[in-house]
Amino acid sequence: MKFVMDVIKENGLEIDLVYSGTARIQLGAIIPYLYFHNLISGEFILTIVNGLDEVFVKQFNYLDIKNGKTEDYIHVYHPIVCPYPVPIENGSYTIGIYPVSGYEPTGNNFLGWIKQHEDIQVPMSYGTLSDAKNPYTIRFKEYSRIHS
Amino acid sequence: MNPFEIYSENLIYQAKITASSENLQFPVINLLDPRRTKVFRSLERETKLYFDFNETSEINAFMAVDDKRNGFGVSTIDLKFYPTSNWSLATDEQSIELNAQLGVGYKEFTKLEYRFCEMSLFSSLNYCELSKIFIGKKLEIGRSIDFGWSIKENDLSKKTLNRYGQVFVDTINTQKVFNCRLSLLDKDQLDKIYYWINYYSEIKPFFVRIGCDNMVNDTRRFSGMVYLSDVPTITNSSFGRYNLSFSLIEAM
Repeated sequence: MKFVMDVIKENGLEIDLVYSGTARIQLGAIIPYLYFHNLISGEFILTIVNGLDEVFVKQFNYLDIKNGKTEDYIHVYHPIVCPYPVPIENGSYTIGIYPVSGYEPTGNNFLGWIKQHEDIQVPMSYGTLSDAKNPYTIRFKEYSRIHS
Repeated sequence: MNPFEIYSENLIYQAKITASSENLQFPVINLLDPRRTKVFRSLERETKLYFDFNETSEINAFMAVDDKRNGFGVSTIDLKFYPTSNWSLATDEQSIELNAQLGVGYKEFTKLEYRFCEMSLFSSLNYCELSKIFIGKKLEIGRSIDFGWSIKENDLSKKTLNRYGQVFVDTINTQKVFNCRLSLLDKDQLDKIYYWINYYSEIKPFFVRIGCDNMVNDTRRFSGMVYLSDVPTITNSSFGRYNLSFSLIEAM
């Protein structure tokens, strides 16, 4: 299997998104598509920022990504669940994954964020000339009203 | 835990409420409006509301419901209770867990007696928004009653069918309707019920919790803000015992 990805280095990786809906949504989980390449340590944080305001932040580590699997090379949609409802409304947001501690990427040990062609959940505002220009793949889960 | 509780003595109606930050287009007084779409909003993502209940009051429950169109406008709600208006000496604290799917945040706790309450709100938005809340104590009907109920949700969405039989729905929106029965009330319990009926009638909303730990996995599922949809029926089933039948409709 082949992926196009960027390695998460000390400055982290970011994606800019615009939510254009008219109604507020309640975010339940953020799910980046990550590639785990033989990581043996590492603490990371995922943040959602609206301008200068931090909307949401959660820490996770390499074992959370591995989630009990024995393989050392894994591609996975890793869910980062919000512990409380995170209201999101119309606006621009930056979602970033940054290393916190215990992570030194090398050719043999790194975490990557996979890019995906024609990501239907993250339509691009620009045309791409190559697969390398695709956005980082990410999914969102929102809470929606359920019947009693 | 009783399977049915009425939270009728809402202290916010007698309280003086001030906010550390207030958007004047969505003032604090909106908390008293019965419509869930009439909300309070602040101008900051961390906001405090200060309640002075005018006298030491009994409190054993808190409930919050969201604006059904937009959901909650806060992520966390924390309560601190004070005997005096010295806001640095909280003697009791409670954290409320909000359920975004059900649109309800609820907590019941051992009865406290305080005059002042500080509510801390935190939101991921650039403001905090509150729709409707209950702070106070439940109506103590007492035990030895039998409770039965059913629920049917009114589907408020507009549906149309084209010539090919395909369904088009504008938005999924439902309104809970409960049919309830309280049985084997004695005369003293009946007096308490009459007090509740007379005070609220069908025009003033109140809060209920339906369900307890052995009945549902989440007691917030059938809880929330409701109206009496009609004047209840009282039946004298046997000497000194009464049955009460009534319908509740979700406040929107």
